[in-house]
Amino acid sequence: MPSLRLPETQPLFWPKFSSPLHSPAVIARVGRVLGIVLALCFVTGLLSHYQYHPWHWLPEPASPVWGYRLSQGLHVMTGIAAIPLLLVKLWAVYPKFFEWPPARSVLHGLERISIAILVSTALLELVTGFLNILNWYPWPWGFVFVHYALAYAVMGSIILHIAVKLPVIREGLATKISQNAPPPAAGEAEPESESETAQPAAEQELANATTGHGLSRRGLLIAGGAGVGVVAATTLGQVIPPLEPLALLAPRKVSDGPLGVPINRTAKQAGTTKSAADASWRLTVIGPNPYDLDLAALEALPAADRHFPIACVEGWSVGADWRGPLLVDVLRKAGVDVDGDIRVHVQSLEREGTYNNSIVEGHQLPQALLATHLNGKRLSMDHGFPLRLIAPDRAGVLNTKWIESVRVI
Amino acid sequence: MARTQRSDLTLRIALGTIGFLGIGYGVFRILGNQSVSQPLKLAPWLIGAIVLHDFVLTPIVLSIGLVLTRFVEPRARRYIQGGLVTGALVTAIAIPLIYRRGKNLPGKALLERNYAANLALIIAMIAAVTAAAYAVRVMRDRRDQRGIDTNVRPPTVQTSGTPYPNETT
Ligand code: HEM
Repeated sequence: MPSLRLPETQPLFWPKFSSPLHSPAVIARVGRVLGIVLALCFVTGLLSHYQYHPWHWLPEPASPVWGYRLSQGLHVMTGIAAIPLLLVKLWAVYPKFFEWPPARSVLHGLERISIAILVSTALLELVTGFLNILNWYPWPWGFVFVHYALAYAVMGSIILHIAVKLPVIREGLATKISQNAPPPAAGEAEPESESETAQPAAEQELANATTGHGLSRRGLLIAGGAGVGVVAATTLGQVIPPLEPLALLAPRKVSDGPLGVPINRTAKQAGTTKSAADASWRLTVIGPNPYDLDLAALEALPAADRHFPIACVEGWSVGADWRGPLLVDVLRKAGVDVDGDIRVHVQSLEREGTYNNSIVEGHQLPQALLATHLNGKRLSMDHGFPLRLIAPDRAGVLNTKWIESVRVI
Repeated sequence: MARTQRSDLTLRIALGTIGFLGIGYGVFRILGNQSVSQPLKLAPWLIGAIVLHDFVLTPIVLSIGLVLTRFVEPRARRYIQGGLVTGALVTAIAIPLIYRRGKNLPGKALLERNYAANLALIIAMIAAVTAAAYAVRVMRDRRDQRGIDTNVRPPTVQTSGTPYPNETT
């Protein structure tokens, strides 16, 4: 055999790590929290994906009206909180990066490859997700698609990682945070403790758990937990308005939005400034007996008042008062049987863009409003003047603005 | 014992399979829609994430730890390390906010806060809490020391501030 073998001992200038903070007791505890947070993030991410791609036979429900507000708020908050958690986790396992030999066996080599997938996809998924809520896209690929596909790779490699590390996870969790080794199993005598009757073994272990009196393991968990806590507390205000005064690091300042609701796509971005302001604007209603009507005719219809949130995929949300005719009332006049199993296609004046139209169906349909007013004022241009859709438990961008036509399909 | 090991093995194989399929599905989706996912441009970002984290960020953090261990006495170091961990985690989140501030249309109500000032405020608060905790520690240690001087037994449970018996390990 040609000798391509690695030396048995690690190279001379190989990093060494002495801090007892890099221990399974710490790693398993941080990992447990990170795992729970990322599982929540994954599940709420799938719920959000479903908002955009529902199966026809299982349309998005209409209640609770704040359903998407809660799930997407959780998705973005868990995603943000996972960043500091991941940083602590990766710091704690860093010495493993320099394991020698790099691979003990083929299986171990494969595990390390899966670890590389785990670390790279987790870092990229969380960082790009965070930059996305800042509306910053410094990369060349389609964010939504890659974010969705990578999520499976992240979650899959976490589950594989748990499978591989399960014994270490058990050992780490069984180890008191202030100890170095798990407590001896019942019946097993602890050899050292016999000679030291005055000094119980646990107390000795406690002594080992700090590096020359530096930060203890418990101290690391407290400081890391405080970091996660401060990040969560100072961003939560973009989801829970009463906490806004605390929201020192929240990307959105919801109360600064025009009419109390932030804008995600302005009329200028959508290219609707002219067409929406056109005095000859009419809403076209397409059903068995198509017709159209202008804004005055729309406002002559009985108006409903609803309190529905705008809940953005970017995680911020705010409740608002909307007023306007019910979508079903407008459809009925076109001879539509609104109690049948119908889907309604809502089209914007916006010519391009993925979200220039949307479908209303199922339980959301009878509740959907063609809103002319928001929080007591006429819709502003950026909020979708003259007419926009608003329905309960619905992702923000699916509430189509600058409506041009509604059509039964 | 043997039974838990057996069921553990089943569990691990099941989890491992699910995990593997999850990774496979992600890769399959990415390779299945290359015009959107741009795998050749995505790959350097994935590798870059590891490189930046493992060869830039972590070495910086570790060097700070090393300097502290060299030059700061243990009791103070403990608190400085704790405060730095908390502060650094918050700073990591705040940096992109500071960098991107004011780059959006006004109606979006996006990134309009003064994040640099807010971060400074948060760091000042972390520093204050850390200093207060340290001051309490110093005072307690002093009180305990007086207890020892007047021949009162020290507490049987070791608090982190009192010297450890087998420091050499
Ligand atoms: C995004 C999520 C995660 C990432 C990026 C991550 C990363 C890592 C890395 C890089 C290692 C070193 C692997 C090696 O070379 O041996 C590791 C080890 C470990 N991880 Fe994770 N991990 C994650 C989630 C979790 C979860 C959810 C748990 C569950 C408690 C966990 C528990 C552990 C344990 C116990 C070890 C072994 C430590 C040792 O051998 O001393 N990790 N992790």
